[in-house]
Amino acid sequence: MKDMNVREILVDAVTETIESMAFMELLPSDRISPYDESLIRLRVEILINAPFPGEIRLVLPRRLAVPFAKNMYSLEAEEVTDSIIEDVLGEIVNIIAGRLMADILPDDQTFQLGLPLVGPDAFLETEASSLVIEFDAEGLPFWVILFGDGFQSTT
Amino acid sequence: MKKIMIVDDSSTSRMFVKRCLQTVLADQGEIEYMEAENGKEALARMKESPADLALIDLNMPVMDGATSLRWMKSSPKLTLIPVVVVTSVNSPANREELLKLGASHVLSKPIAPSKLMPVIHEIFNIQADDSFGF
Repeated sequence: MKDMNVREILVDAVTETIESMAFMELLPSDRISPYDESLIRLRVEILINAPFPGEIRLVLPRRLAVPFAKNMYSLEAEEVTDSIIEDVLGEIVNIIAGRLMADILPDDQTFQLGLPLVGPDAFLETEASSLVIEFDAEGLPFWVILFGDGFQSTT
Repeated sequence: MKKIMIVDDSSTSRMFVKRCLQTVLADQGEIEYMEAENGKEALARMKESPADLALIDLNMPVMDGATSLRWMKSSPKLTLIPVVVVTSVNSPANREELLKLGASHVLSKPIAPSKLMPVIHEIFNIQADDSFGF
């Protein structure tokens, strides 16, 4: 493993991916907001299959996923369907995961990702996570959670 | 007319790739874009109607990009089609493996016209246009 600060690498991967794909700015926060039952949340996750087992999960309010999809597809908000949202979130987590893994692994190390899975999120599970970062996107929270012992910072 | 096959299980990714190609090839006449959701579907369609270029994702259900690439390079009908792998799984080691399998180029997602342009120009032997602005 390279000398690294996983949090910094993850923040760069998330903010640059969302900015380049959905044209929206995300700001990392130092806090984790309390659970808000009024937010309808979605979660999308992707497994790291190699070189170590892990998972990257995004949790966000549905009403934040709509502008992501709207901007990426150049649609009106009312034209954004659940199917488009699922595909957009799957592609976002896929790209964030690839960027993160490429940046934390040595150049001679290959890695493998699973396929993204999207679904509803009842609550924010953080007990077994290695790292949770909350971002602010236009006043709405957006969480990125890493699971797995391989995501340990070395700096 | 050139035919380009875009293979990705994500419709979002196919849309991004197609938009970039349309930008890069805007002044190259009519282009036929074919799309497939996995390698198996793409191989079947290209055997019926060979493409001039294939852009293939790596992580897909049914048949992934690396397997598709192996099939293409072992098929007399498809072996000469240049394959650009467009993937999020793009470490130097992953890239080297894909080039050994026969990919002509490996590009990282998210794709952008500035990344795609030199690759497409090389494959289609298009002279660079400085007025393009990238």
